[in-house]
Amino acid sequence: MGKPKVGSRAWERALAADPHYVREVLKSLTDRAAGGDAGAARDMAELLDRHPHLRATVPALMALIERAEAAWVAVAAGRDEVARQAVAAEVAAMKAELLPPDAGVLDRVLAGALVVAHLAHANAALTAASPADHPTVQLTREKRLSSAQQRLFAALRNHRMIKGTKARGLRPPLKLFDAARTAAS
Amino acid sequence: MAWEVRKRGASAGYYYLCTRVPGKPHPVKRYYGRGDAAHLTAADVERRRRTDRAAREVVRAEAARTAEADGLAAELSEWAGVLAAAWMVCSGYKRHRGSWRRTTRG
Repeated sequence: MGKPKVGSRAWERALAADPHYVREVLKSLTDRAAGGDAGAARDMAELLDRHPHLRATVPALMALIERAEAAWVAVAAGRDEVARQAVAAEVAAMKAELLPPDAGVLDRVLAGALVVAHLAHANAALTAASPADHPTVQLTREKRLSSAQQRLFAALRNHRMIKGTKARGLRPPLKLFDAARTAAS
Repeated sequence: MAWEVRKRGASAGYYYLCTRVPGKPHPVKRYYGRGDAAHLTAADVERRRRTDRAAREVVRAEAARTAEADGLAAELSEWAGVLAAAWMVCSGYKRHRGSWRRTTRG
């Protein structure tokens, strides 16, 4: 079956099932709402009522976390099965520490992003520390390390920020998070 | 940078090297002739080209090794940022010059 024609109803349905599209819609609404647009904030709160099919994004998100973790475990361990088991055990321990008992999709995504950012940073730091024969190689490794540090910092900041709001008892009315909890469990 | 053959003169040509000189807006072509200096410079340039090519190969191989994992990490990081921001907005926060500020009491 070919791709639906752009602008058709089938195309719209296909878009709504695309996690990238959902992320961009949510990002656009969040950016507008964060800037003070009351309409966007209202639209966000009613997002799942208006578009129940967005719930399908949650399993895709969980799969993304699993794939990203598995990919970084494979990069870190290479072909060494013992090393792979050790890294996987480290990942499991980190997640057990990061995830609260009643973890929802946001907790899982933030913890997953933090674990993945940690593995990517460790890999970049290890590569940057190994000797390089050429300045270009060293420079590229340092750029990669710098980018991994920025991603790790962002993941830590997000995790800490949400943990802080939750500690103050805040529970936003966005149903995506509730729907996600049921889907994730 | 090459051996350039002239209508008159040696068939092997004469070696010229183009370099950027600070303060000049265009590359400067320097003449090395066809003697020892020309052969030494040509060999040095060739050696540098080989090491640059090998370095690019190392960089490409390292990038290819983590390309898939990097792509997934970037996607997950993007999702984490979007969902965290959505949570903050729904909790009554607004972004002010990069930092989140509480605007309502929930």
